[in-house]
Amino acid sequence: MAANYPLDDARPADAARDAARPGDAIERHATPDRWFHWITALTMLVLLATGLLPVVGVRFAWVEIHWIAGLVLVAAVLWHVVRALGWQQPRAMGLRWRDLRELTARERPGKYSLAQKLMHHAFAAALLVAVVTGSLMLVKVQTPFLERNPYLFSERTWGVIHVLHDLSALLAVTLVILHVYFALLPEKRMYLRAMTKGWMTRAEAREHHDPERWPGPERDE
Amino acid sequence: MDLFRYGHDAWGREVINGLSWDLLGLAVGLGFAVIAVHWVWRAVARTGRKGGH
Repeated sequence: MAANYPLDDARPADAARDAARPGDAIERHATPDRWFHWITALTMLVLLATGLLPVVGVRFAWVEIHWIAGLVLVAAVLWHVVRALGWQQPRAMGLRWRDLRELTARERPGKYSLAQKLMHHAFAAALLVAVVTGSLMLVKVQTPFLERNPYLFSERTWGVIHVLHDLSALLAVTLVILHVYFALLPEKRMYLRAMTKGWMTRAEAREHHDPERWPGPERDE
Repeated sequence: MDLFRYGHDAWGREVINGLSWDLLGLAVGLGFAVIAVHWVWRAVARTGRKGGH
């Protein structure tokens, strides 16, 4: 008889399953993509902390940490774009009308569910706006490689740039909260494992994804 | 609640400096509100599944 756990997807066997990689494990996220995810996550937390802690009254020298972390984020985003276009299948992340059928559980998704696609696109929008506006704002800061020029744009234009940068930061705050919540849900733990170790079992893939739309490459390690 | 932060340019004209930081609480609250809604929906869906076998 199955034990009745409060969160009935969180069973002790999950921990053992996460530790051992079964023979039929399939790769969901390749190593470079997992590095991108965690570097981006760390960078975003640093950026949000350095950008928003002073707002709530925590005083420290945040500017240098902020722009250096921002440059790391720019590099990570460029790396992700190259990976997505050169090695991955960008179409797997595309929104389609048939994705709506997942809402009534009539159809299992391909590699990414509708919710995962929406989360990706929302993060992408926030990051792109933050990266573009942050890069422009870099000219207002003294850096070793750029002559400071706060007069590059008019006050009005700088205002618009700051509004967009702030908007991306606030959107990122909401998204990070939601992303962490969904990642920690017991029934989603295979996705967290896939983002840390790269694989999920074939049974998990079959249960949550349509094998016709995402067969998942065999893992040959 | 203000939507924007305002300042003044060199000529004393009012300019927008960015979004109001009052909205930070809204962003955090929105995140937790969605979590609360999902938590309730999840509990209801599970109850329905158990009841309907």
